[in-house]
Parts: sequence; structure tokens; C-alpha cells
Amino acid sequence: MFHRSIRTVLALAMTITLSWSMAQTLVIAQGTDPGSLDAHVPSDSPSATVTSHIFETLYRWEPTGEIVPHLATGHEVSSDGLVWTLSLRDDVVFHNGAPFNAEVVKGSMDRFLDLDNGFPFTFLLTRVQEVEVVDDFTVRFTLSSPFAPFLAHLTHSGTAIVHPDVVAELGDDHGANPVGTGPFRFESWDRGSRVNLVRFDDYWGDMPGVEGVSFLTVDEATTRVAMVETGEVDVARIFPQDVARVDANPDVTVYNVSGVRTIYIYFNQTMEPFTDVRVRRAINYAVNIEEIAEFLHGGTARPSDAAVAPGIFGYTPVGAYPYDPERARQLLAEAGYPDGFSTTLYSPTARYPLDIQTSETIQSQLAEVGINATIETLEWNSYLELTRRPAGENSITMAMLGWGTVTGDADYGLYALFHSSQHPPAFNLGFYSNVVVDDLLDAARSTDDNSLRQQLYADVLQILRDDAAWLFLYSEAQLVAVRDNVEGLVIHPTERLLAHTASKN
Amino acid sequence: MTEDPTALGGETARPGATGAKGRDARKRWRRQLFRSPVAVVGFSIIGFFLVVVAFAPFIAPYSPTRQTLRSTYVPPGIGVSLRGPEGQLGVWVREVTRSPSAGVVVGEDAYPVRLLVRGERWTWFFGLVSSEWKLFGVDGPVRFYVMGTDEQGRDLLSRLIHGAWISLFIGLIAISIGAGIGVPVGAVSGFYAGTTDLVIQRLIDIMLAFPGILLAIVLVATFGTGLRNVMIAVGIAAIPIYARLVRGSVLSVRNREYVEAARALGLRSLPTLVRHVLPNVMAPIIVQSSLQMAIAILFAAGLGFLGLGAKPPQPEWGLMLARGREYLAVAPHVATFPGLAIVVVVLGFNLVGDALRDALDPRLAR
Repeated sequence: MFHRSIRTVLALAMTITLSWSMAQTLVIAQGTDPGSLDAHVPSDSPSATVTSHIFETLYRWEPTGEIVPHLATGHEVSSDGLVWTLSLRDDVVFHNGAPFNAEVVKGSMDRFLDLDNGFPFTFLLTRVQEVEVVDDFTVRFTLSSPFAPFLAHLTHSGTAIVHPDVVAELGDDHGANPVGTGPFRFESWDRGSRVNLVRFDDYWGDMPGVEGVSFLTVDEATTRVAMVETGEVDVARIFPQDVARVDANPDVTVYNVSGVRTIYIYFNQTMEPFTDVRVRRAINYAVNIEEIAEFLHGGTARPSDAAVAPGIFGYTPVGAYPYDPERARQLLAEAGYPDGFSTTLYSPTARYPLDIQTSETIQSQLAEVGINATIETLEWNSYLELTRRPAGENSITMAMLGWGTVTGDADYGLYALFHSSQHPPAFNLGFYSNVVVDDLLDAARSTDDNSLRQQLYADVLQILRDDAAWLFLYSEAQLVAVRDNVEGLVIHPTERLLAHTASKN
Repeated sequence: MTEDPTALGGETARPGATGAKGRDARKRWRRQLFRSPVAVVGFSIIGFFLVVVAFAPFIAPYSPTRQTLRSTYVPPGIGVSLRGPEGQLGVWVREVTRSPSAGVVVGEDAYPVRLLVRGERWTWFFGLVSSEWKLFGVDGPVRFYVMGTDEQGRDLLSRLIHGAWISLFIGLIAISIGAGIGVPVGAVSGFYAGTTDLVIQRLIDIMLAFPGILLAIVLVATFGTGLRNVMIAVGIAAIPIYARLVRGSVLSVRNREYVEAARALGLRSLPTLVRHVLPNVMAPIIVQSSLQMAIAILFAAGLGFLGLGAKPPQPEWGLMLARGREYLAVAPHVATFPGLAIVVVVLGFNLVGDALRDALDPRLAR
């Protein structure tokens, strides 16, 4: 009797939770668990996807490409481009009830800009010298030199506003108990498994259509597919090989949204034989990227025709290297390697869709022109650590990586990856150094003349192509399987899945 | 090793069966070994496996790394018919391509599969043998994918065949390391007893406290990934097993009359151990080695599966299985065949181990 009643209660409880969660909570499956939920700390998209629901930035990058005020309401720039005065919303409160104002913005920015904190995206705003409170809802940024992508960088989720008092009180625990101004507040985090957020009832903006959003960590792509098919999750990122199968399911739709992430293989340009531009060009000619995109990725990758992806301010197609193994052999011979050479190709595995498979294909295509590449794979964090070692300790020859230009501005993609001031441990991992490129990049970030900036970036992209600075690969499409009862989910080009406007039927 | 087969029985050797009846005993031993049909199956599997390893490039129709991006995920049997265009018997194949836009397309022209054809030039045995002859192949400009292709359009059968030596090699090296260190350590521990035994056995206890696969993972994680380190790690994981086993056997032998006789004759302890004790504990070592072979192959595949072992594009079975799992829904054959290969070979070594144990155990004689 007792057992039966317990069972009934349990069953009832399960039905309730089940129906509640099915009707009201949007469940999103991601491949990796967030490292931290502190907006300033993580550097990867899955973490940023979660923090983007809890925290908000001063400006917002619409999927359409515009930059619009978010926690800010507008800005004024001094004529020399050095002083930016931002007015702020006056109706915003934090999840703990604390008000949002200029003091908070200053506190948050000071924390973000403090180099001692070692935040990964501090470099976005290094030109900010001082943040001052003008009045309750006005804040002034003083820059050391004009900085055109300033507003674009303020859209980056890594610059989001945290509450300085909460951060001071919680210290490192803030990463596990985040308090922001976003439409969802933090509820619980079962590490390695799921993060639960619930709707914040005092949110200043439009109320989300769901009562909560949960982020499940499911590292197997096949499992994610099965979960979205059975309805256990509503939204999941999937890999190209599963598209056909998922699309056949009447309850699930696969969205193919172009992304801002460019996948490339960089060369260590301080090492033989990659010091020779002919060798770098030969490698570009030797790889049939069209075939890889079409047949290996099933058409979900777009062969790169520039070092940044389309949709980013500053993108100009400068053309891909055609597949021409004969030309590759000829260039290798001219460079003094008629019989090719041996090298090591470092590749991540299962970090990007089909990454290691792509590396293997490239290895095989390079072998056709006599370049004998051994593939080295490492666990992702060790891999990043190895690629970011400073000169002298860095022994990487060629390595595959991806870079998402998540501010939508070419400065973020090009300055960080090609300016000679950005050698490792920053992100110019191939030690690319070109005075002309440096000058152009510096000029492009210091003017606010958009057509001039466009032209400067076009020049940079053309030089990078002629220099064969990378083995240019492709830009990724985001493949997201969404159950048909979900509406209003935003699949942002920055690889964030946003539930702000989502609802479930 | 002693010529006397009954000595293989080790501690349980029966006093009656001595050298004069050696040939009979050997015959009996062989009969024991092949007595059960299961054992015959085991030996057949291992025999087949060894033949495949020895003649890999001759049997495999194509190179294990040669990719054809236009023929990815081709399932086995597609484009293959058992009748020619004019109704002839035989295996005929058509070209199969697959593209995201057009799907699977089977070509018009069928070509016959023949035995002994010329194919890509191969070299084997470290360059000693080189030839263009293949066991079988297509007489025409298409490829015959017996087991289908993987995500890069590589022939699965060729990959499995070329991967066989990796498994065999890992097994052999791991056993050599395990037995090479474990046997002397165990023998010394059991023979000298006392404090030596105590110290060694506590160390062995520590190693045994970790499950073998965990120990191997820890070692690979410490020394770095790659095939060589996997072999060493799996070998080290086998050391305590050998050491414990040999110690037990030595303990039961060390006080036997013939050992005492050797001592009485003035032989020092080390020669006694090597010449009189060790040969009599060989049987369990042999049995353990064949079982350990299976374990080593399984461990290596497991480490490969976790991405700690072989490097792509090496056709290591565990790695192939791990990779194929990603496409399980679209192309189940990519994971199935490497999985089956591992199962069958491991089963083979286990069956042989069982048969050896039965044959070497006099209590089970007759």
C-alpha cells in the first residue's frame, strides 16, 4: 500500500515535471559544458551561449548585421574620435534586485579591462584608457587613439555588464552563481550535465515566451541527434553527416545558417620550408577544397575566398586558389623541393565538424604532390596550449584552427590573427609578419570612414591571399536541428543559440 | 625449455610419465589440444589472422589510405551483381558514386572481378617484397568495395587488412614487455621468498589495484599518445599479472625434490631457478600469454577508440570503430566491420588460450 502510494506520487510528480518542462522549458543540447558562467571569463561559444542569456552587452549585433543599442540608448563621439559618451537605460535591474547604472558599467568595465584578471577578450578594448561616470545614466569612455570597431566590440558577449558588488562579494564563485540583467536568471548548474535558467520576471525588455531554458551537455553528436528526434531536447547542434537523417523526421527541421567561423590551417612562417611563399602557395594549389566542401562536408562548408567569412564588415572576396596539383609540384620544384618534404600537420579532433576527417583528406591530397604530412592530434585544451606557446618554445609547423569573427567586424578577425604585435601567446599563431599588413590594419581600426575601412580590409585580404598566409579552407555553416514546436529561436551568426524570443507550443 | 612434455604440466606433473614415452605424450598432447571443435575454430581464426597479416598488401585490393571523396559511405553490396551483362556467373561491379546533390549513383558498365590481377604496386616486409599482383581485383576502371567505404571513400576491407598487423604487433610487444619483466620479477619473488617477496608483492599489489585498462590509460596520458606508447603501456599493465602468476607457480615448485636435489648437488640459487624451476612453470605462462594477447588487442583498440593510440590515418581497428560510430546512423557498416574484426580475433586468442590450458593441464587429461 505504502509502496503503491509512493509510486503514484512519484508518477504524478514525474508527469508534472515532464509536462512542465515540455511545455515551458526550452532544452538546448550543446557539445561541451561551459567552463564558467561569468560573462568575462569563457572564450568558447558554448559557454558564451549560456552567458548571453544571463548577461547583456551595451550594444547588440542583430543577425541582420546592424549594431543597435541594448543596455545603452545611444552614443556621442568627440570629433577626434577619442571620447565616447554613452547614455544608458534607466529601467534595468539585476537579478538580485540591484539597479543598473553608470557606476555599475564603470565597475564592470574596470574589471574587464584589468589585465591582471587575465580575461581572454580584454584585448578587444585595450585602447580604452579610462571609463568615467558622468551622471547616473551616462558613462564616458576615453580612448588612447581612434578606434573604429569600438561599438562592434561592445557587442561581444565577453564585454557584458556584470555587477561589481556581486563580483567583489562572490569572487571566483561568480562563475558558478552568475547575476546579470538578462531575460533569464541562473537557477542551477549540474556540472558536466546541464545548466538551468529561468525567466527573470522583472526583465526590462520583451518577456521571453518560455519559462526557462536548459543547456544540456551532450558531447556525442549522434546522441544529440537521437535526443532531438525523441523530443528529449528541443534544439541541438548536429554534424553534416546526420543532416539527411534528421531532415527526414517530420517533427524536426534542420537549419543551415551561415556562420562567421573560418576554418584554416596556418603555417609557422618562421620555420623552413614555410618561410618560402612558393611553398605556401603550392600547398594551397595542392588541396582541392571545393571537393572537400562538396563531398566530405556534404555542401555545408563554404570554400574560403578571403580570410574572413561573408557577412562580416570588411569582407571582400579575393578569390580562392584553384586546385592545380601540377602548378603545386612546379612551385615546390622552384622552391627547391622537387621531391616534396615531410612535415607535421596538427589537427583538432571533434572540436569542429569533420575536422580530423578534413585533415586526413588534406594529408592525402598533399601526398599527391610529394608533401608527406604526419597528423598529430591532441586533446583540445592541450592543443590550444601547444599552439599558443611563444616563439622559441613553439614547435608547431602547420595546424588547423577555426576563428569566429563574432563582433561582425573584420578588425576582430584580421588584427588578432595577422598583426605582428599579436604573435603567440596572442592569436597570430603562425608568427605572420608583414609591415604593410600591420600598417593597413592599424589604419583601418583608427578611422571611422566606413568606405575607407572597407577598402583597407580589401587590400589586407588581397595581400594575405597573395602571401598564402594560410592554407585557406572554408567557413562553417551552423547546422542546428530544431523541433517544429519551437518558434522564434535565433541562430545567431556568432554561434550563439538565443532563446530570448523563443516560444514552445 | 625441457624436451619432456610432461614437464609442461609443472607442479602437477605425474611421476609415471617420463622421457621414454615422450613421443606418445606429445601425440596425446596434440590430440588434447585439438580435441574440442572450439579449439579448432580458435586455431583457424588465429591462422587466418596470421595469413592476413603476412600477405596484407597482396590480399587487400587497395591502399588503406587512398581516398575517393566521390564514393563516400558506399554500403557493401551496392553496384555488385553475381551475373554478368550476358548472364555469366561471377562477381561483376559497377561504379558507385555518391554526392550530396545526386545521392548514390550506380554506373552503367559492369566489370568482372577476377582472381590474381595487376593493381597498384606494393612493397612489404620492409621493402624486401614488391609486386603489382593482387589476390583479386576488378578487370576495369572501377573499384570493388567488398565491405563498402568510409567517410573518405577509403576501402574498408583494405583498411581492416592493413590494420591487422598493428593489432598483432601491439599484442606481441605488450606480451614481451609483460612477460619479460613480470616473469623474472615473479620468479625471484617466489623463489627467494622472505623480505624480497614481501616488498615485490606489495609493489605488485599497487599495480594490481588499478584495473588494467585504467593503468594503461594513465600511462598513455603520462607518456603521451601514440602507438609506441600504447604498446609499452599495455605491456606494463600486464606485468603484475605475470608476476603474480609466476610467483604462485614458483612457490609450489621451489620445495620439490628435484629442486632440493639441485641444491644438494651444490648448484647456486640463480642457476637452480633458471634451469630447474622456470622450465616447470612455463605452462601457465604460455596459457596466460595467449589470453593476454586477446586482452592486449582489446586494450589497444580501446585506447585507439579513445583517441589515445594510433594516429590517423593509420587503419587501427579501435580508431576505425570510434570514427565509424560517428556515422552509425548513416553508414552502419563503417563501425560494424572493425568491431567484428576485433571481436573475432579476440575470441580466437581466447579460444586458443582455453585449449592450451586444457591441453597443458594433466588433471583434465583423457
